[in-house]
Amino acid sequence: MSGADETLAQASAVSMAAAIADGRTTSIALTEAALARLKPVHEACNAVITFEEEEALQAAAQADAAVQANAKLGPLHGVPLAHKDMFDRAGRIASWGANIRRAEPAADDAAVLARLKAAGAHQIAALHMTEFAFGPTGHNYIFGHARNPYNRELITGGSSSGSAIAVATGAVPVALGSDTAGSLRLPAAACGVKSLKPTWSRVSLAGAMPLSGNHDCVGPIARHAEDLALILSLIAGHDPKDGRTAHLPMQDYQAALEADPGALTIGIDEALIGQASDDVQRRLEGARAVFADAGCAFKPVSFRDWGELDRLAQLLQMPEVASAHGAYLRNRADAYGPQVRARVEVGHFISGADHQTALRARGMMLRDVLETTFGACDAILLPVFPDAVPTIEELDLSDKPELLPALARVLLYTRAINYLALPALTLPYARGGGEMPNGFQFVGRPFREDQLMTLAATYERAVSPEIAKI
Amino acid sequence: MAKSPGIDTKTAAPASLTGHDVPDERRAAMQANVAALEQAALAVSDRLPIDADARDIHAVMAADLARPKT
Repeated sequence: MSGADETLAQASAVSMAAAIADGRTTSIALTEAALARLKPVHEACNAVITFEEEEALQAAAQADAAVQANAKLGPLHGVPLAHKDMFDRAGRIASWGANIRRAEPAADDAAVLARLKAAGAHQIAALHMTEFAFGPTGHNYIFGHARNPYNRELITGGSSSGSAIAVATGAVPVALGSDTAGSLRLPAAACGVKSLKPTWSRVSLAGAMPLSGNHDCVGPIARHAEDLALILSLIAGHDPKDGRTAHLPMQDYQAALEADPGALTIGIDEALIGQASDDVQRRLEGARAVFADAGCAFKPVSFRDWGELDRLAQLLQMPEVASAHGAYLRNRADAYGPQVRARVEVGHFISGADHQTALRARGMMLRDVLETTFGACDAILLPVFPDAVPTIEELDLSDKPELLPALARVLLYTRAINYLALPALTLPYARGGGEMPNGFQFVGRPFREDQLMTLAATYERAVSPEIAKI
Repeated sequence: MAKSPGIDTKTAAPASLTGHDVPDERRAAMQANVAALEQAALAVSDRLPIDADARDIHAVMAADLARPKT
């Protein structure tokens, strides 16, 4: 592989597609580089569930032939990607990170994968995830725990653990994941990359593993803001196969990368941020300075009762998970890992009336947050993890009673956002000497991912994307 | 505010868990967690209009997107 190809292999998906289209490299070269990179990454970090080398190289050869034939090329033409192993793919059975899975191969590709394929991308591997995407740490008692590429003793965050590893190490520029309580944000933060949890109902869930339908969101993890914008522009929008997807117009996410951040006002809830460790607060202050320098305005805001929002999120999520897993848990309990089994049980002890209360209250609670907390703000700045990224060992709690409070601390700043259905952009803190990755989030208004893209691009002009050395 | 009787998780498992045993220690931890969640549901229920509906959130999101830009 040439030096130019090496450089491109660590570029954005947008740059890769452009280089393939204008003949500076080939899809085969980039796909071989991605596979060569991902193999040692997997050995070090347990990032992959299935390598798909043969199919990927076939797809790359077809992509190169299309270039030679001057065919019409999509915006991801020939770009090798890899995704969390939770999406249907025609003729395959996704692992869902679990021992229990569908009995029959899927008939069709999940909607999001079909859209990426139509744009020209192909998949080189199915990536590690927390069992059933039901855990925020990257622990998996079936496939083994994921390990952080910056320090193998640390968690990767979950549940989109493999997606964050593959992107952080430069194996692929983008990987899809999902977020039901923080599963795009926590791995992106722990591994030092970016992610976008879209507004709930913005992206189709057709063919994605269900966990909690009122909270589930599919979105990208990437190193570059322009890739978040491109991927969202491809996967967002109404899908007749998913009746929940919104019919509302999409914003121009890519144009938003060039928009003026000085037009944006950011809310700061000092009391809520004050629940984070001193070190996290210090790093968040450093991130805030980047946006102040870029001209953003800041306003103090206050969530009326953050804890109540988090409890409503649990009242909605836990019974939905329990219901989805009802037959599995009764009939195949031994096939679960202990942590997920213990958490799936919880929803059975929540009454149907309380679940309905949480569901019916969602509009009222969101209206209150938009009117009272956001006010005129465009986004609210919060940490992702409340503390330094924990070690695998300290959260290796199996099904012990300490599990629920420990995970509640990890989810402090993320789970309530799913209840509110709001979009959230995760960005990594700048790292001083020896500092481990961690990250913060901007919570946006409904369907205003364009404003989050402006913030992502603004930050990237000051803090360059990193690649973890393996 | 009256306390809802709910499910007595000390003595009864919900029928949806029939055939699946939850060890006492884990059940106690869950019970503490669920009790806190029930209090949140009660508090919200007290101020939730009778005609509140799960679909309200779609209207709230659409209205916010349509609001005049400042």
